[in-house]
Amino acid sequence: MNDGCCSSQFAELIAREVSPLEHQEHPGLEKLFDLSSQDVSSETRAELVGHLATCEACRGRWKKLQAHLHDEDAVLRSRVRVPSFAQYIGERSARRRSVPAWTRQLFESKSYMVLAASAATLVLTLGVSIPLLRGPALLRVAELSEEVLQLRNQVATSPWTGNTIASGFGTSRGITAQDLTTLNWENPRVYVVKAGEDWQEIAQNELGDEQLWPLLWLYNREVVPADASPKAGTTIHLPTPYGG
Amino acid sequence: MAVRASLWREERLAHWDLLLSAGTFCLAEVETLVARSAREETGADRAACVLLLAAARLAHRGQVRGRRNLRAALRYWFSCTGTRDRPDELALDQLEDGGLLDFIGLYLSWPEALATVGVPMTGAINYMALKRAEQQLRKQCAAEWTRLFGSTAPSTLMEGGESFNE
Repeated sequence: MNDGCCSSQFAELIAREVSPLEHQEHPGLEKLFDLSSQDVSSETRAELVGHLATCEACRGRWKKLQAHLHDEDAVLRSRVRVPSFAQYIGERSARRRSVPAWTRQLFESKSYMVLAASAATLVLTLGVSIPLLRGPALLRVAELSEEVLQLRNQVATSPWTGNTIASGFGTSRGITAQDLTTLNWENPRVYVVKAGEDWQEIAQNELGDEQLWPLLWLYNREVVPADASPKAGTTIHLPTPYGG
Repeated sequence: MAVRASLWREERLAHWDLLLSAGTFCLAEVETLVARSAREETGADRAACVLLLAAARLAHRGQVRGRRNLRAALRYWFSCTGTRDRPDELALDQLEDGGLLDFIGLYLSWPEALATVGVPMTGAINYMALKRAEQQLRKQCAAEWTRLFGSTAPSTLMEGGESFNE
């Protein structure tokens, strides 16, 4: 006995209760599996417990099965689930919805951050300098403000800015500027989605790089819901390769 | 008769399984089984019937701590049966809902048996809990025996009783 206490007459009676019996039949592996999975009726469980408690061979098989199931469970639990494309987009949209649009733009695009930083610097500069500059100096500041405004409008409407934004977006996703500058996003072409195609496949087949799929998705977000793949027959827009 | 005795024993073991795992057991079913079999059984089998009935009764109506100690004692005794089959690293907390088959062959120490019912293995070993569980069980066995057979419980169910080994 383990620590000298298992010596009462009860221990002896109980040991006798589980002493081996001669069984004519033994449960199959399927029944043992059901027992391990708790997938048995109370009557069947009672029968199996009575048998296994008094049959060492079957009990050994059952314990081995338990150990295998335990190991398998541990392996399954350790595996990381890879989300499907639709899940990825869905989660991404949910994340996007949870923050204000201007915050998203600010954090996703480096150019917006530069713009925001410039604007903040300008406001600070003006806030400090205007009280100091009076009379003709105020006129100079007004002219300067006008110039900055014109510059900002020019920047916002120029294709260069669009490319910079797209570049910032692409860089964060492993898309190089080289990939983007080979495509003309200003004059899109129409493309009808074929059955079974998803964004990656379209990006791979039509643009030659499946990594570009997020841009296609962004480009067509007015047409295709954010949490779904494009359906067959949907008309979407694709950029045209320069010189293509 | 021998076949019937084997079937009754297997039936008793199914009830022991529920008592050990603290599952939903039906006292009335145990009473029926014992009433049906105890008179036909002899010797140790008859004593085993009475022991099961006494344990079921205590588990049914006893106080929380008493029930916990009883379950630990039963787990302890059942663990000390069969061929030793104990993993190198035994996760006691995972045995909390364990049944009869989980305990056979584990050869738990008393503190380990207590740990399976949620008593942490720290401080002095509480052997008194085991003694108290034994005393309660012995007292209940004596009462059940008298109720069933109208006589005093044999020494096989009382402390220092004769051995069942024939």
